[in-house]
Amino acid sequence: MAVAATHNSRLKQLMAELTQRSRTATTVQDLLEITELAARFNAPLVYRNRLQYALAAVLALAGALLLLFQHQYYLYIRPSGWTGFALLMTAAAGLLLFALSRNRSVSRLSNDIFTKNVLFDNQIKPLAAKDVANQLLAAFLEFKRGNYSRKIEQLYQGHSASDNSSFSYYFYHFHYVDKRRETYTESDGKGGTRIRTRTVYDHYHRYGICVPQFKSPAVLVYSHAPDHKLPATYRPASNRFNNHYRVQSTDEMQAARLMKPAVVVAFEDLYPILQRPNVELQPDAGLCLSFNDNNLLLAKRQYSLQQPELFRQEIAAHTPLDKLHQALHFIHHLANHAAISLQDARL
Amino acid sequence: MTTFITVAVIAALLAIIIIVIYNGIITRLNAVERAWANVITQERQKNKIIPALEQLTEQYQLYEAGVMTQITELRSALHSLSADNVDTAGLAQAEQKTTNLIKGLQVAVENYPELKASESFNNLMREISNQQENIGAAIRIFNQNVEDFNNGIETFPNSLVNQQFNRKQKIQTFTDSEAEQGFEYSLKKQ
Repeated sequence: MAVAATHNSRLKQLMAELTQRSRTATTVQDLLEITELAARFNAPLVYRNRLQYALAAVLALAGALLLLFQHQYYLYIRPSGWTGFALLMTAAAGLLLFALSRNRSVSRLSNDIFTKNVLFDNQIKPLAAKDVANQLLAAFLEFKRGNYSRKIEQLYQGHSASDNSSFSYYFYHFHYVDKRRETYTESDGKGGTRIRTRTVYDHYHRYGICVPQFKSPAVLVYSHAPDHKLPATYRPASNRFNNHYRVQSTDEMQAARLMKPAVVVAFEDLYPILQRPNVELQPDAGLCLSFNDNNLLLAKRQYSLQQPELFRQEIAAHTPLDKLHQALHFIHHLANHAAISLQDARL
Repeated sequence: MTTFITVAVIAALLAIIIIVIYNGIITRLNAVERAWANVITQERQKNKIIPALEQLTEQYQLYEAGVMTQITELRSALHSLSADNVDTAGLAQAEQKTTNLIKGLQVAVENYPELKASESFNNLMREISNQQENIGAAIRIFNQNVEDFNNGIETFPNSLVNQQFNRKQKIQTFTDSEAEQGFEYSLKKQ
């Protein structure tokens, strides 16, 4: 038991240090050092929970014996018996949960480290800038959704370069809520039904990439209709495009100028990759590519701190975000083919 | 009376189905014609760069490579294209002339290093490449619309409506490997 207590205490200290280091890490090297620290622990990163399991078993057994005793002694189970049983079982469950949860903390920390590594590998930084979020919310029709609330939950900043263009971008997670009243039927307790109304809040999430440097007239290409639209409509020649998208602009010629065949075909190819994609161009705000996919900044982790050497190799290798790169490639293509000027300034 | 109403309802339903199919075929045909006009519009964009090409040819005297002849042939091929008639053979010829001209230019500039390095030539080549990409994309859109139209007249019961009322013929898609290669963009390659 004493050995387990020492091991658990050392592990707790290590986890605290690793968590702290992970929070403050600013480079891949910092993350690699975390994995090296884990490797130097020289024991599996697993809490020894025998004591907790034994205690939980004793408590559960005591609860069962209490019920049995009352049943035998009083021939029925008194309310105090049930209360005692519930307290003992809750304590047993609490101990089990504590034991399982602290072992899951290793996996949670591995996730945090890997997520940070993916962002570092792809030159993306989390951004806590309320003013930027508010600017985006005010600038694009994409964010005029939700009659109850609208908020940019997360904001990241990145830079992308290709042979012909380069731009800085914001990646966002937008959450909006629609409020509505609905009627429902319930039993009136007398064998009949009555109709009642209640308020329902529908939560929606959209994600996207905003590129402020884009300079273009207002054009909206959407597959997921926004609540607010532009006055003029335009239909390109492609049936496939028209099956998926609608185009609107402040005037038809601006849209026609943007929607060259190479751009139309790029939109067609984008449709199976992103869910419900929209592209909005605003003269003062730039470009906003929005979609329903929530996995553009996610990659699959293979190893964890439990296998420190393999995890270190995983962290050291570059982890590409394929879907994000496809979305960025689309924006580069748009910049090259549409009559859009890109002001190459970093954010 | 009931029989009469039943027959009338079935006849009205049939008439509506026939009208919807008939209009669908016309809509698809219009989409093909619009896509074709789009291809021709993109092809004719080449007319905008021909004067600049002629100027370069004269400035650097690229006559021995036959560039001037190729420019004349391309202009003539572009002139014969019509936005009103789907003429894939004419389009193939214009694309062939474009390919010849680009290859001719590439051979010719090998002997003129200063031309090869010049900004105006590189801008011109970039513009040609951009145009070729748009032509490739326009051809892809045309082929997609043709496929929609052909499916629209060949599948049952559209084939019956087409046979009796529209009487439209199947349209050939445009196949030209050089032109298709002009459009290199693909998200799936990433």
